[in-house]
Amino acid sequence: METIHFKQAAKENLASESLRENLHRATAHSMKAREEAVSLVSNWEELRTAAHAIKKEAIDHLAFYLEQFEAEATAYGCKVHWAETASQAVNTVVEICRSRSAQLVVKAKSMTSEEIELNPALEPAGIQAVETDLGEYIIQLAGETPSHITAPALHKSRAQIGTLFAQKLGVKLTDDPQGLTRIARRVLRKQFLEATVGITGVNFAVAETGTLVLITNEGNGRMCTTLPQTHIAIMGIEKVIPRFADLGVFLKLLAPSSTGQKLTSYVSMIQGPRRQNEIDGPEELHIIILDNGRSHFLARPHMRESLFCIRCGACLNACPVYQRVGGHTYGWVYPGPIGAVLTPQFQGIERGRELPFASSLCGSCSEVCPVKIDLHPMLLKLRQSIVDASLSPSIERWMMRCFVATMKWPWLYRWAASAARTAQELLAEEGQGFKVPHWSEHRDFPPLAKKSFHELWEEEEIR
Amino acid sequence: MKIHLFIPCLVDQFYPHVAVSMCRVLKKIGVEYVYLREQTCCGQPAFNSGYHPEATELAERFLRIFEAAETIVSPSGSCISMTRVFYPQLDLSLQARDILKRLAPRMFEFSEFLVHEMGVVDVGAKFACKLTYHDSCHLLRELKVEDEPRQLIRHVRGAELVELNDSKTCCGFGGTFAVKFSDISTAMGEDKARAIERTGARIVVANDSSCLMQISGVLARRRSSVAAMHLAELLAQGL
Amino acid sequence: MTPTQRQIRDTILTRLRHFTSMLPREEPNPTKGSAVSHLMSSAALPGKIVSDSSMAALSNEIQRLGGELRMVSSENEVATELLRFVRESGYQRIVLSDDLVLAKCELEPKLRTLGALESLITARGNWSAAQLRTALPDCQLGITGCQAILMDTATIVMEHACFGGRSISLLPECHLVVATREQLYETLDDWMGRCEPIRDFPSCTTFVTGPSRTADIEKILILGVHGPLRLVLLIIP
Repeated sequence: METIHFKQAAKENLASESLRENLHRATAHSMKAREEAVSLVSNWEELRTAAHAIKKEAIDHLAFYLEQFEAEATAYGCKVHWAETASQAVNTVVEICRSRSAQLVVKAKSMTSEEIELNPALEPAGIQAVETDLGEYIIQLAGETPSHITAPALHKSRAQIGTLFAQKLGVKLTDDPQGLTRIARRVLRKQFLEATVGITGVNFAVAETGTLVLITNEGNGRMCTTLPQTHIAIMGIEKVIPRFADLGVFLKLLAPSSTGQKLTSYVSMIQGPRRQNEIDGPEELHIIILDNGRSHFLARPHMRESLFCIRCGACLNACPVYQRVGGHTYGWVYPGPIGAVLTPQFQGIERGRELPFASSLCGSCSEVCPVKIDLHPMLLKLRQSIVDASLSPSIERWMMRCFVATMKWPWLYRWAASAARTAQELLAEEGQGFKVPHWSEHRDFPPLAKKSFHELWEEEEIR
Repeated sequence: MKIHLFIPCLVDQFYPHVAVSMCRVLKKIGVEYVYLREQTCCGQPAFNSGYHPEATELAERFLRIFEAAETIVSPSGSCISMTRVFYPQLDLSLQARDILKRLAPRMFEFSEFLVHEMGVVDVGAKFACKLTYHDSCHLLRELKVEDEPRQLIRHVRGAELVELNDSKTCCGFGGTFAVKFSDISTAMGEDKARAIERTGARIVVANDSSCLMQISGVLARRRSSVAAMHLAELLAQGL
Repeated sequence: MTPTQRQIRDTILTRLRHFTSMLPREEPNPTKGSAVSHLMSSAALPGKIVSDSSMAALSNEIQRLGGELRMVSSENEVATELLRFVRESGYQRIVLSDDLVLAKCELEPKLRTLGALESLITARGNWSAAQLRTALPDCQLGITGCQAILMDTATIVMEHACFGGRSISLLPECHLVVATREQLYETLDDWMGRCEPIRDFPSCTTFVTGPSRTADIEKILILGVHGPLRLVLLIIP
């Protein structure tokens, strides 16, 4: 696979004023909302520590808890499928849909389904998949991919969305957000009622009780799991948590981190398909447990914690790089700091080689992560792997060797300092520093001081 | 109290007056200082770029040089983060590990040394000016130093400290990030410069020369009337 | 499970076991107290007099969420209040759940006294699932009871094994919930510590916190996306 050209994409996206504006507005809003919501939770740090410990327990014993979950869910009447690869998962979904003669499928937001590229596979099978989360619906109409984990259309303005609806749905042009939402409600309601299959992701899978937990705001998750006869839930293996009691911790962390709410409008706790005495709900509930490379993450002790992620998107909103370049720059379904950590693992460090370096290592991501994942140290580890695999440019390796040599040998250090001053006198303008490529185009570079501190000390001026 | 100076390569070559100022302040509060001339670099640029063996070489050298030190003070949060927080992650020799174990709790960034180790918030500085302060990432998030520089600034006679909006947002330097991803780095720097200008301050103060290189570089290019100053320089004023 | 499925399953589980065995760890003990038991606040007994400050907090929170809170002092007044609400809102197509609380308040006979109603769907109508599926999308108001109210987040715990199922609180434009004092809990932790084991719950339980909402367009808050636009909580305290 080709390398993701983050730098190039970043340059293009930085140049788009409208994108910069949309991104800034959305991320600043999210950060402020998060800050307010977190300030209301008196034991926030305790919760983060507990969440980290719960996820560690789950991941350290993942096989055990997955088996327990499977047994409990099956006892309720769920059909549990396992998929080692994306294509196995996709084939399972297609098979289920075919066997129900499904022509229309409604989808609630699922990053996992984007990861396995489900929608492009359903189309040739004659199955129309309609995204029902408003943000996902918008980008589906636009033929784009999501640019954020929880706010997929964050990069679009209301005017852009209004034009899109007018073009694709034939409605009157409006840029009123409420008007646009009413249109989507009307159009999608028909789809909910007609569809025979509903496909969702899973926020948490409780091993102890076989409960699937879906966390949403719009109600589309409830629609997808109520109206169609068949519900397919796709979950990564890392979604499992040990006990029902553990859920409380995550519920208190997720909404404040992702949207700044105390709780989202809806938390659905699903235990199997419709029961005999119930009048609605799906007749069948299929759960697809997806590996797609996650199990291999466990082989890397320093990267294991990247499986703790609960997909809140807080690290994206906090990242000064993401805030300026947006999700599409990251080249795959998971953007932002978590994306920079996941993509090289999922798709290999050759493909993801630029991502870990596209960070100033400010640490804001680790600071806001509700599950206390050490994100920016992981970026450092990935940088190390990339260098160890000889994937860094050879000129860089050469420069690093020169740098180390200069710093190891004091005589070389002094000589280099002196040579640099001579060069500066020859090349740079009076009182100015060198013109450094990739710096001086937009920033002044300081001149080397006439005398270094070493020299000043030796001249006993400051002893 | 006798300390060893740890002067980062950036300060040594570009901003020696920062180190000179730090020495003047130390002298004023009665701290003796020693400078080991063999010191060059803690190895952070190599470490941050993924070159661990190279970083380890320089770390070993650093620890050997400072073996006999009892207290180390540096005008750089990122360098102290490297030696205190990140050195333990390197594949150091047993000997180096021993030195690090003893030294780590005795390695201080300048402002935390003044406030916590010396119990000093007022060094007697005088500088009448409206100032604002930028929180350097390593200092803030690795060393957890946030209030100490502000306390020191507030005690400078005549100084008026105005809080900077988004003071805790990264300036965009990030080591090699500044040149590898120069477009993003510049965008971050320009946002920082604009926020600084909006405070109406004449000077922006920070504790890390790497941040100062970025911020002053952007401010100068904008022909801004705001200048950047290291905390040590500020504290040496009027002594 | 098909042979291929079994193979895939075993491959994944074996790999997981292999990699996780590489670090020293204790055996999983899912029944021991989790990392969180110390975080559970001491449970408030249901039926305890709920403090004024909690009620005030609930009221503030509901309003902040864009929902509505109405209080009556006894079961007798529920029907009166409800009729007033229906007249005010102009809703004419109503579906009423079979919750015991609603029955005690004699809501069905009282609602039938409203001449202007186009339709009132109740459990007495012997509706089949298919018929309900056709009729419910047209309803404007769905009236239900609930399992519990979590006061600090103004969350309604809905168990859906009732007449109207999951749809009654989802499809109509307005969802009205009647709750009694016994159903009030201070916090999520209180409820989780006191409720029946989740296993005994129906196939779906939903926490409803405010009306349906989105901020997908420029982070502007809009209520009433796919779920109800209006959420009304009627409490007999």
